[in-house]
Amino acid sequence: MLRLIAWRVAGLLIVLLLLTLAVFAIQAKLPADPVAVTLGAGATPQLVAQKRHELGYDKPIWIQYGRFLRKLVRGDLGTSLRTHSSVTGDIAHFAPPTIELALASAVWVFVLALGLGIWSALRRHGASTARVVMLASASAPPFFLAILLILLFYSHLHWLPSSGQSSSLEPVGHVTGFLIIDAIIASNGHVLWDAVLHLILPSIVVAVGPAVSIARVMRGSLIDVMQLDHIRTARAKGLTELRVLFKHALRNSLTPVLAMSGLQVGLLLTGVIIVETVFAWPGLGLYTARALQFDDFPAVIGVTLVFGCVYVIVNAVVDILQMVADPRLRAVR
Amino acid sequence: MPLKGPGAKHLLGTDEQGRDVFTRVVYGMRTSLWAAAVVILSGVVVGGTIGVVAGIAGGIVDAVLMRLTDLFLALPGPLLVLAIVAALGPGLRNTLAGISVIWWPYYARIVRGQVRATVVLPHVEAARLGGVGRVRLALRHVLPGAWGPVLVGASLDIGNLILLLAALSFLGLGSPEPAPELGAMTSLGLTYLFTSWWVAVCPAAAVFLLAFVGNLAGDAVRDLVGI
Repeated sequence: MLRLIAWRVAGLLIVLLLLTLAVFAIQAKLPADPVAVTLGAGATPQLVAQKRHELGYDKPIWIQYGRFLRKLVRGDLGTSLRTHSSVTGDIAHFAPPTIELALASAVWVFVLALGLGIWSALRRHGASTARVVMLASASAPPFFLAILLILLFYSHLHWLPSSGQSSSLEPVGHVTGFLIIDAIIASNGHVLWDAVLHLILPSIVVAVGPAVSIARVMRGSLIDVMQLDHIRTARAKGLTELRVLFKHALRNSLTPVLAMSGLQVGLLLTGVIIVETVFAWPGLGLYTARALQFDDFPAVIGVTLVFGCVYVIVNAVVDILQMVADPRLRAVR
Repeated sequence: MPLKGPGAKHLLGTDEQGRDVFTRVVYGMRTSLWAAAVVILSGVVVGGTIGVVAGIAGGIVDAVLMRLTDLFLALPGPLLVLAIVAALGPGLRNTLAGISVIWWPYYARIVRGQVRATVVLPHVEAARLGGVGRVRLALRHVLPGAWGPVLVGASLDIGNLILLLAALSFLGLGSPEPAPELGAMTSLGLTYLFTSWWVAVCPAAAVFLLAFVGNLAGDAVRDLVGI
């Protein structure tokens, strides 16, 4: 068991290294010379050459990669060309709203995936409806869902706000940077309610794609498990169908679901970029979209690295959790 | 230029420059389908070649190629595409190139699995004993057996690709204005969402329709091939 975990962690380190290598390769391929961009159009060739030497751009490529890694380890992601502050600082500043959004989405994913998965797996009335609903939601681009929800709940019904993280101008103590937590600390119910209202639509839109993918895997897995012998035994004992499902089937069917959930973190992170753009949510996604607009490469590269690391690490943790949860997986290898 | 709502003269209304939204949506859909086809084709060719080589060679070649494939699969693809396209500069061609770089591992796995299962079959052994060369063996005797799963994988992929392309175009990484691309059109239309909903809703709905039809077709192909 411990050996398997050690193997997985070693694999994680290799993938992380590959990620930095990929990002470094992308960076080296930049069409615009970063030195020329920094110095501006009026720089003489001598000045450019001198600056290149200072920054080490005339060194062999592997030495440049080594420098790149050392800077990464120190948490130095360079300076944003748009905000003119350090990318690391920017990311730290814009991360809390995104984390809030992602966690709220995770709650929706859990509820939707479980609900849709079970509903479509139990061959009852409405199961085929569930399949069509799932296929349609899997085909809806996040911006389409976002627009429809905004038109319905904001424009038409006036129930929910359509943009931003809060509409109140009341200052709430800046303790953690997480608006909801700060509102709770300041025990400001008004701000808290307002923040929750703003969170509803964007978090649903982010959640739909991953939730449907997970629900589809869950449907397949549940249908397989429901045909096993121990389910027949449980039914023969006279247990109710609900009890059979929750006590005997669900836990057995979760292994592939867990694996899929890890993979869906990638979709969730990309979804965040689109959704934050539509809803003007002041987080990392909007920061990335702006950076893409303004050709702010250091910022794009920085966010790619951070999101990439989150994705790779989450998947390693999921693999380890699977081994902990399912003894059958430990026997493999 | 006043925006006109959907009507008899302009089926889906006009946008801020007086252009007919329906016409632009139709052209955008053509771009989407064509782009998705290009990426899938390149994925099948690159991944297929790697899969066939790994599957037929076996041994150390197989191990190295498949570990490489696993490593690529472990990376967050769409995010890397974002960085690649940002580095290459926006434009449909660069976007396609960026996606193609990360879109092959899936096909490499499918093809390699099929090839491994096929090379041990009697007809392949017979061909080998008959003195058929390696390349001819791969192309004539092994590869035809891999078409079914590849076809299923590719048709299930169309929907995903259309969505990814639309997302990249939405973020401004596709062709620059005035090229009609569905994602970019939606993004521009957001400005007028509350006064002229059709400018944003129509191209977004077109992406949805394309992806939905693609996914339905994918399911149908899967049922047809019977996997």
